[in-house]
Amino acid sequence: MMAILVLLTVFFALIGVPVFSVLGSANLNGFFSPDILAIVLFTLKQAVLSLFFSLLVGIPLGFWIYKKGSLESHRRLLLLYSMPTLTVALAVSLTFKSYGLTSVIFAHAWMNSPWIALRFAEGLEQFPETRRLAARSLGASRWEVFQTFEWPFLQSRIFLASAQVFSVCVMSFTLVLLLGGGPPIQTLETEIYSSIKIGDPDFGRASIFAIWQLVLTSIPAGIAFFISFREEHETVRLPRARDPKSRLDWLTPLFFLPFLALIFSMDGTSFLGAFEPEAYSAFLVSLQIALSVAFGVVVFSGAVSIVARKRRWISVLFQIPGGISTLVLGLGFWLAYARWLDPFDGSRVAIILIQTTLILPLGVRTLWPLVKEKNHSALDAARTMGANRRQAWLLVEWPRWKPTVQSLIFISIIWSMGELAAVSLFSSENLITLPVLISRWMGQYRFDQAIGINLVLGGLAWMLLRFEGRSRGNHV
Amino acid sequence: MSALAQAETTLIVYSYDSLVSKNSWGEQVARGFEKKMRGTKTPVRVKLVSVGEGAQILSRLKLDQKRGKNIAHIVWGIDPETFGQLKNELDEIQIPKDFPVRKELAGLKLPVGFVPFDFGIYAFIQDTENLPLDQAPQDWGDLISPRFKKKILLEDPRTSTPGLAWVLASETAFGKNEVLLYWKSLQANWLTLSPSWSQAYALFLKKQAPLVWSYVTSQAYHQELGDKTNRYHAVLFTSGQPIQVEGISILKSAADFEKVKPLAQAFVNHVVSKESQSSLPKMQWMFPVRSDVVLPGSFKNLPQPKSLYSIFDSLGNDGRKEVLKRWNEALVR
Repeated sequence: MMAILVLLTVFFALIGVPVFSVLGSANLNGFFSPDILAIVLFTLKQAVLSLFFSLLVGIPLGFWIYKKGSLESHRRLLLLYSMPTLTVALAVSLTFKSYGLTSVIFAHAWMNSPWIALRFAEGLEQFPETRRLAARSLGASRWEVFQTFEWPFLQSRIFLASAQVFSVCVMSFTLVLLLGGGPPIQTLETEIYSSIKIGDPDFGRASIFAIWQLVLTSIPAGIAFFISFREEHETVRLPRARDPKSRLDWLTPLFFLPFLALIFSMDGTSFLGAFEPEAYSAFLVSLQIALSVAFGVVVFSGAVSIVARKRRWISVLFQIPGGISTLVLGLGFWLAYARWLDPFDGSRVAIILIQTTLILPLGVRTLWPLVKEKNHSALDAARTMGANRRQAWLLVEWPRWKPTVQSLIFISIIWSMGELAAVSLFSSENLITLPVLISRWMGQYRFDQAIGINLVLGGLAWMLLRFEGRSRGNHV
Repeated sequence: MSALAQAETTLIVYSYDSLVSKNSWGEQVARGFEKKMRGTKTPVRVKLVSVGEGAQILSRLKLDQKRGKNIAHIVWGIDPETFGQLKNELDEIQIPKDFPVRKELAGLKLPVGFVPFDFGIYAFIQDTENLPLDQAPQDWGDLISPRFKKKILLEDPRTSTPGLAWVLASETAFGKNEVLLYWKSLQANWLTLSPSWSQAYALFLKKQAPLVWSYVTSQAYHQELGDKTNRYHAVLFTSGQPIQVEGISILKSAADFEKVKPLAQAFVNHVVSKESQSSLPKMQWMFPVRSDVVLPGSFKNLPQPKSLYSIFDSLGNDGRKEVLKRWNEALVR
């Protein structure tokens, strides 16, 4: 009971209070005004189209990964998530020299189709091979097996992945702002930004947009949570490579071609400026924050997962941040806790808490299956042989937990190091992270050096993913 | 250290990012002031706080009010419009004596009590390798010609001060009614509206489009960096150029305002001193406000605008919202 109370307090402190601080100032009079509804409809349109094209690319890619993919292809695809959206937007704009709805949808599909693909491949991987073989031996064609057996098994997984992609596209900010090219390409998130960040802040209007955004993200998220609650398979497990040494691994590198535009556009000498002491200290700040976030994610997700073993609704509750944008949560923290967390001293604590909160849903989905599949008999055996509870857990459970926890740590570090929205609200002269330095250098005519840091970030993410792969060992 | 050494007073200065970031002109000026005050009875530490883009200064101050923590003593880098909106929270500043102002500012109607420290002249910068010099637009009207289709990079007026400047400048050129059609026609010719000047300029340097809305002094920047052929050229319009004046002011809302006021005034005097202003052109890439500062050669070679006009005068927050609403409706329609 005590543990539940503690987790509920954490939930209200990290999510409830900040969100209500933003929503509390909503002026509901204009909720259905035509100009606001036009933005709601446009947000919905771009998110639906982005999802459609993510599925169109993601499902065949998932098949390909299942059939031909290698370990490297999985890691490469995950690398896309580590790139700051600023870099992604610049790469898309330099490659295609095009702006507007098409560019926004392309960028969304490019970023999100790998996620759909990985989840789809994971579903195919988890489908019982015996059922597949039995159907084939009874004369069913490959298509009939897929249609009759595999598709029903995969449906809910695809829906869950789609709900996540839809929410990400509804809340997308940097890509819409940089690639949209101005009105009429304006979404709820860009309107929240202009309402609060420019000129005299209009919290009433920002809150209306925030409520609409919550409405749009919570409907699919709610259905997804219901499915995951019912089926209890909403877990994050990378698919095992069918052929770990596949030489046919040529498709996933195509996803990285737009980044070549960045490299080719760069002046080599200017790039060296990226290795200045200023960049080094920003790197250290980013790393410190990322390590703290990774630690926080493991501790909180672990606690939530353990408590959720008996009360599943707790884990569902901690999926809510998946439907809240960084901007809304960051602003909520600002309003609710700025008396204690002084943003002008550079609130490392605020940045760490916000980033931790935003990765919690992934953390819970990653650790939950480990808790669920606890090896009671082996633990009992260890206890019988004289081990105390801690020793028994370390002997029996830790080897099972270790690769997943390490993966979660690496993914949290990668995500945190590229995150800009939460950092920009709470950074200061004493707290400059790499993404903040990129924005700053771009404002000082130091474009190539900014791109240089982007590439350093990408390289770092690549290294971490290699470690991640190594830590998983046979698990991938 | 002497036992009688005075405790440092901290002066909190709000500004925008590029003015106060590491190795910036603002940082150099602040450290110079600290050095000057060291050893006096009132040693000072200047804490520079970047609030992001210039357009976010007002927003940050209002958020401070909302959370009941008015801690800033100085705002540095505000335009006359923001000055007007903050007027009730600003102290009546003493304009420093012996302050010879450059002729470009003399004809402008700046608000009483507004202390300018630099100014910029808005202009399109042309990449003459991708658009020959003789094809430069002569005035606002030329920009909607089909020959400039997707050849213009502009900033989004909702998120960027230069962006708001081009919207206001075009409104000044065409009037409130005619400009609606102009904006709609121009939409076909701009490649994109970037959220900030830096994004737009990055795309310009990556040859995405040959015209970008920037400052005349961008040409000086390229010359200082070795652009001997004048590849990057400031385009001046026959109707003149809009001017952006940036100022510094003292806030009276901080709890320790009375105690800090003399030091804040001393900092303002230091910012507009000849010593500080001399290093401004090649660090801030704007014009200094003092006429007794010798400009670098690259600034002296800049083309001379036919005339200058202010665009932010008495715009106010409602005015800003109104013009953005009109602009938005014209484009969405």
